Amino acid sequence: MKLLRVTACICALLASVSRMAAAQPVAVPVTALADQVFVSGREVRFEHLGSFRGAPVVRVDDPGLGSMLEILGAKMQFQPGTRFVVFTRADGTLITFTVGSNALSVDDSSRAMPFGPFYQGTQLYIPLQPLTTGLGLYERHFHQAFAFSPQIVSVQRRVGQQRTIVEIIASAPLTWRSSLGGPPKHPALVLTFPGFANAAGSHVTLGGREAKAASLTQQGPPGFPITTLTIEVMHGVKYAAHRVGGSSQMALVLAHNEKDLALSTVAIAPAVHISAMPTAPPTQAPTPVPTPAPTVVPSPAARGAVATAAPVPTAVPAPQVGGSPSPVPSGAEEPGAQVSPGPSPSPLQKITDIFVTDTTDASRITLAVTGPVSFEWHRLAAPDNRFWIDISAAALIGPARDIAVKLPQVRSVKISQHLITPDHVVRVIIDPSQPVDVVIGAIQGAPNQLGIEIHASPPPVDAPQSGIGMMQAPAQTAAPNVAVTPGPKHADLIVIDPGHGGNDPGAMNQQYGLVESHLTLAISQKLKADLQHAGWRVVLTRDGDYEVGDPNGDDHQELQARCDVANAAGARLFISVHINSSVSSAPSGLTTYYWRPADRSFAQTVQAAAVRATGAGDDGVMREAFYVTRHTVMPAVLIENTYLSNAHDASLLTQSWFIDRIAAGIAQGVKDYTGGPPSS
Amino acid sequence: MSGAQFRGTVLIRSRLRWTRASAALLAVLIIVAGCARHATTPPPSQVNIYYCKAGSDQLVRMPFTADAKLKGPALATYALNQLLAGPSVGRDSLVLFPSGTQATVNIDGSVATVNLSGPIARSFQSGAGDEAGLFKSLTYTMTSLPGITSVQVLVDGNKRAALPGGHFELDEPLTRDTFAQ
Repeated sequence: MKLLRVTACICALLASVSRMAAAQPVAVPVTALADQVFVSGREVRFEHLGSFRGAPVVRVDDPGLGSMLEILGAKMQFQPGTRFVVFTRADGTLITFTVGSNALSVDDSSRAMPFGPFYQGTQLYIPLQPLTTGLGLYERHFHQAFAFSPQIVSVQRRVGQQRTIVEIIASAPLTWRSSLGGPPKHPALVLTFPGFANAAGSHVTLGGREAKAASLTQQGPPGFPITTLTIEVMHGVKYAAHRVGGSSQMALVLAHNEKDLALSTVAIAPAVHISAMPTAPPTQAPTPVPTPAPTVVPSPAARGAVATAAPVPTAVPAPQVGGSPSPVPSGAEEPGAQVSPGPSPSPLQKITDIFVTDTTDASRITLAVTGPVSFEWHRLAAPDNRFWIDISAAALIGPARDIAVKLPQVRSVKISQHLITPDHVVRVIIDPSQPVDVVIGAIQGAPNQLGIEIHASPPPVDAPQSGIGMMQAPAQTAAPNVAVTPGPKHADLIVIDPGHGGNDPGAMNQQYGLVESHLTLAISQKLKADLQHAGWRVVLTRDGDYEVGDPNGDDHQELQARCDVANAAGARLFISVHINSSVSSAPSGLTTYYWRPADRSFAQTVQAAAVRATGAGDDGVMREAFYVTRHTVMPAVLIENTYLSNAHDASLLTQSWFIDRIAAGIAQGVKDYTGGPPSS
Repeated sequence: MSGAQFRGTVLIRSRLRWTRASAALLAVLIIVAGCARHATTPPPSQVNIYYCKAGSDQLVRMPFTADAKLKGPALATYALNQLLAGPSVGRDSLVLFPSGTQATVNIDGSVATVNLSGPIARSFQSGAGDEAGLFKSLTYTMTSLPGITSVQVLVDGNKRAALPGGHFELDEPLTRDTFAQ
């Protein structure tokens, strides 16, 4: 809390900070440092590693820094011209450097560094060791070499019914090996974490009917430590290891019954639908929100909805102080009715990233948050159609800024840290030129993302003028079975999913010797090349004839694994490539499927381009509940590229030029939909 | 149309009024995609079976007359058997469950739980279009029965994310809204 306040203060006191930075001339030049750097036992080559005042420093644009962060599942945000260099660790911890300040913030605490980030010429350097400490790395310095290893940060017990859950958090994406062994009377479960040092203490008390105690030891050479977790389990206990929450966390479930080993799936709150339609005479511009009342309890309706794991209803009136719900007077805003998230204060959450997805008729602003937040929204009556959202107990990482959306009806969107005291409030103001429909809510499948969708379509006539909403807190175990927390967003990354593979060949045409899984791979590989040529980065969910995920996994794991690839990579688009087949030989042509209504225009654009490129029949776009289009969190389509069961289509599918045309068509659709990758 | 195609449902089929069914097919071929939402509940003895046209999401509704004594699960079983067996004419253009598919149905409140087994539970061979069509026809058929609003599909007795080799999500009950365009 304190540190965030510090960060925000820095934001507010830009002028004085810049004086400070100017007053800190860099007289001593940076000298090149030839030391080798190893991260998790892998050598990372730095091009601009230097020494400054006897300490290692690195240029923020050094590719070695990028490689290091990639190994650690971490991310850097830095916009030239701004003062903040923000790193997000794989476990969500935020490390903020401020140019000209020697205070380093790591989540809610601040620590002093000998010196802070500094410019030499036009190049920005940051001190290496404060960064690696902040990243949770264990350091060993050898002769002309640094070795950094991620660490096991905590091992904690959570007791569930009929089972014990051991939650393990590391400072980088976890890999582990597990085995159950030992003498039958004293069985032991052993997990090893190669490449991880131990920072979680040596002993963990467990208790309960599944396990007695656990111990942690670190072995291996200093440059490549290996941490071993040994758990004394009770006779007959079974276990399952789940990757949860994020790639750097795992949950070990110990239970006597197999059915208790699965982690329950997190229920996702659908979006809260609200609207910004003027229904009343014009009113004045928004007045500044006064100091909020210390505690305002949400209306009973809202709280009840949260307790039953459902979204806050559409038209919850803005609660009044004292909790007696009364309708908001139409046309007049009630900015005094500030809302706290509940009877007890919520922990401060951070808004770590903002990204925008534009379609022709809607723009979605996604705020990456470190946990569930509550929000309150207000709108003004026409002609001032402004709409604002106040997010409670939230800290904006980085400066106030404009969010660029392509929707022509929107003049501007601004986000800022509106208040720091007594509560942290982040405000988003949407300034549309005409009434627009706004939807706010958790994004399906992404518990740590708050979506604000602005639709060009006019909202319902009887739309309310203000209300509150809350992202649903994660379920009790906070652990979807195999779900992966969406990684950082990459606006230039597309994930292509070649349908089927391995023991699931998909549909076949024996007469022509065609197998769906082979065709989908061929199309996907060509599509990858086409998209890369256009400047995109591309990841395939598989690049050979195998199952995605665990080869012995069931269809749930298989399909979820495909979604996980895209969700974890933070892809901008997801394209699942299939070949259709029917019991009837008559159907032919292409069909593109989508699920979320917002993805319809993506589907239509790809469908149109693919039909043009191939000359194949146009079966149109359809909305169907296909798994991969429902469980990916970015715009997603599934394309069925003609029918194996149709003789004409099948004969075309034997031709490589036709495969190329399909790929070219989809690539053109991506271009038409996005306008191209961000850098081009 | 060989007798073998009717498999185990010949006995049930022999009670049908064939003329009525055929007339409905040949003369009317009522395509109800989209408007089936407004379909009224048929009288207890009449059962609407919905088949999906291959290569589309359009449904074909065929009214059958069941024994008036059939109620609840027995009526649902009758409807399911008709759906699995397919119509007597026009089958070539309709999506039908793969040969050898076995299905049972239980009614719990407003949910019909349909357990699929046989070849379909081992590997689904057709494409996504047929798959969506099958589940749309199953959902519309079951939810046309009195009091049924959703269908939970089980595969070999278990709730699954999808059919093996399939695409369509099955781990939640299907309703007519699932298929809303």
